[in-house]
Amino acid sequence: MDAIEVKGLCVKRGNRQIISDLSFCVERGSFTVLSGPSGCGKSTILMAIQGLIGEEEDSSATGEIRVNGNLVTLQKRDDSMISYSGFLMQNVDAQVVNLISEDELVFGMENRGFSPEEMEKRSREYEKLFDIQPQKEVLHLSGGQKQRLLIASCLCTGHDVLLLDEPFANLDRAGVEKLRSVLRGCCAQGTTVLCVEHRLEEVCQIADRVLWLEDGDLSDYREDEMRIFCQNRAEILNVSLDWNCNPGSGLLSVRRLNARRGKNPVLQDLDMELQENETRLLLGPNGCGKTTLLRFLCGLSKFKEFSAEALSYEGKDYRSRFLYGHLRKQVGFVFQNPVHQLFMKTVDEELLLRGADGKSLGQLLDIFGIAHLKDRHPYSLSMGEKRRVSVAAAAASGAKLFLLDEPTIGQDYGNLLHIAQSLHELQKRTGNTLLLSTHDTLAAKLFGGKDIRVEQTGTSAESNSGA
Amino acid sequence: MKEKYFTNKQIISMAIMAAAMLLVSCITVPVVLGVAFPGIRCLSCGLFFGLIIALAYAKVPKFGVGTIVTLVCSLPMFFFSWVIPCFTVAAGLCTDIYFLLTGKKLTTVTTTGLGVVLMASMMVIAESLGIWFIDNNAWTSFAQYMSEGWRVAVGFFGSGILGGIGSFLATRIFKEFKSLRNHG
Amino acid sequence: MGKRIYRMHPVLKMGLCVLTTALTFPCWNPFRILGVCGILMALQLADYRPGIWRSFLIPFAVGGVMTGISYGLSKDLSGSACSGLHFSVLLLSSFYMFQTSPSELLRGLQSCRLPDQLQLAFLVMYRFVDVLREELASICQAGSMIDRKRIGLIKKGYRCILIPFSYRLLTLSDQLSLSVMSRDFGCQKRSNYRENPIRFRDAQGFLLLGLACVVILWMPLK
Repeated sequence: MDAIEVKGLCVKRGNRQIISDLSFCVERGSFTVLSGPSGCGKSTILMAIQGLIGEEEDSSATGEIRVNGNLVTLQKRDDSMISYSGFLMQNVDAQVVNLISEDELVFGMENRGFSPEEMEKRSREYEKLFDIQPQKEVLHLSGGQKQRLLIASCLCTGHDVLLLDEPFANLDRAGVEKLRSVLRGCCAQGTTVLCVEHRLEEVCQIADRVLWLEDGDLSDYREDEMRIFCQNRAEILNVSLDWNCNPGSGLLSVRRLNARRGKNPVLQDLDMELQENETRLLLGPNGCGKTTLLRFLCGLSKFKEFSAEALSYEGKDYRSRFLYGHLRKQVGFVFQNPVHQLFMKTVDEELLLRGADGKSLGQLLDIFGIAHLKDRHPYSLSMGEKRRVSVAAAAASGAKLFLLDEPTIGQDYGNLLHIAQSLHELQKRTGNTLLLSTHDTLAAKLFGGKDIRVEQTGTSAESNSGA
Repeated sequence: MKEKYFTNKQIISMAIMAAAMLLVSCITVPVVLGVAFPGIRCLSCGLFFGLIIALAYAKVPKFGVGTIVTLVCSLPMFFFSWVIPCFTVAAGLCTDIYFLLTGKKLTTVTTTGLGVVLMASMMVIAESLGIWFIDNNAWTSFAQYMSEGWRVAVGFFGSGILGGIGSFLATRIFKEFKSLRNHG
Repeated sequence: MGKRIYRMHPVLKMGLCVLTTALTFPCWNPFRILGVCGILMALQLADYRPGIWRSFLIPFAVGGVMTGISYGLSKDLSGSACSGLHFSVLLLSSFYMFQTSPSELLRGLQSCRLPDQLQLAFLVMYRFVDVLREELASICQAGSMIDRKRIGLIKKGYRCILIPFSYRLLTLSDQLSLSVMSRDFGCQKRSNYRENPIRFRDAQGFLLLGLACVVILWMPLK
């Protein structure tokens, strides 16, 4: 008996057919990756297998899904129904319910009515296996630690099927290695993992199989075929874009920047110079201070939390309390979560709000490939589309310096290339300077050129990226 | 298992709204704590409370929502003073009674009324409890309190109006988000 | 360094704090109120945590300021002292409550057979206050980058703060409910990992301390 059996799954949302007559099986103890272009229905499939598809308004599903032989409901769930698999969604912050790690670990077991002795035994076992500090507050855990905590909580409850939605999206290199070894260990113990992921190069090493879903067709790749397929997918990003052809005069200069978050020092003695018409990457592990640096550069830091020997933009000194806040009107900034900076009812109103006029509006819509979305509400778009809109909106301000905080998160290779090409086109037309932060080394190759590496100690070093 | 009055999904929605109410009161109330004006605390957070309670009823259109949201949001307030949960929950109960009296129908007018009732009743109950407990002769201080009636009127009507505006804005927001589903 | 000698059950602790403040407010004898302050300070010392001296200093500092203001207005020393001490009692009981972490309080409520759904609601509320705080901070920062002249102050407040914040409230609750559902909450009666029942010692302590407060505040002298 296979761990997961999907037969004739059809999912409709409103009038749109999302999935049509899909069938596949996942063997016990295997690590299967489900991938495909954005919007093809991968997350919807996971929701259906978990039995949560009925909770989506306007969604209807038919077909048959079995997990370990148990029939999964495709209708609205009753609160008394149990799950046959563990489920990890992309946004881990919206899944952790408890305040301390130990309570989160035993949450599923308490819900199932386990005895305190059994809970004690299992929680001790998984704390060691997943390197969890039981008394640590969830607030102080990193994204990777929260993920491991949630996976451990699912396994403690006795689930031997795990459904993971883009678990590698927000992780840096160290986090990816850690999660890979954890998942490898789980599969070795007989756990079945079905993982939706764009970053095929990360999962290829531990996957047994890749299922590629495109235009309703499911293709199955195993072993050598799988490795070749993953390599071919990554080849899409082997595009040479001529960044940094004609760097201009000095635009931004920072010397001996020290910044802290609360009482903790984040950046120490950081130096940076940016020229006009230049593209730079800000690389470094999670928590090293990339976002803090970007927020500082666009005037969003609290004035008392930093000190710098020099901070000049377009030849003007911005170190004074009065002037520092004005930087945010001069510099374009794209937040990591695009929802935070989408405000208006339609996409074109959003661009007009940020400073686009009639002529530049059409240009921006074309450059970023969002002309067909101009009358849509930004919140109705997919995450990839929202990100493109937020980048276009920031570009509409016409700022000379354009800062992007992790624009590559959760993007498939196609969207990633699209964003890079759009930014390249924008730079050619306007001559602006781009500074992007990312921990994705593959995506970094697309923006190849000079990069600034921020170390864990908060200091920086300049080098040429691996592209 | 016996079917519960609120589903888990509804409880979670109410809890998130309660967290938002607590957050707003932690931001706005300390700013005005030192100002001696009747109903100043209700005035400072009226708009957001009206918005949040209307969103809560729009998400979970059942009797008891007001009481549960205010009960959950006021638990940490026990740490400061047990009077705060008392008047907050009482105001939530008044809102529930109003919701029942309107026949549980959420039109623009009735939804706006949710915010008005919540904040106006919160102001009245809070100030009454304050008079009762701060002075040992409630009637004398009540008379003193009402001797500057215009201030009380400003506090009362101001709280109600701000709460109503918040709830009215919530109706517009909810309509806008409902149309998102039609876009796909 | 102090040691923990006596830690009262969180629910009874809450009850005791309510009792002391309720009993103290009608009292206008400064010495009696000081007696209650002493009880609260002794309880805090018995449930020792580092930094406890700050939680003694702040209530009396605030109380002193309130006394000064009240005396300046009324010229009645005894009444002013009582006004100030009322605030001190309030703050001392708050700090005593703060020695209990939210997770301990929730475990205590769970042991008192609070309905599961209400427990979940309290838990989610505590957990998500910080998440929402960060979301609101990001939204406000993003909004601060919009030029007020383009949109007007009122419309900016509506579109740049209320709309994104409301959207996040609604989507967070949807995502969290999916997570809780997939972890089988409510499928059967929940067990309790760390039982924290009200013991005889707690009940005894609560009754004795309550009685002590009543005696201090209301026992006729002479």
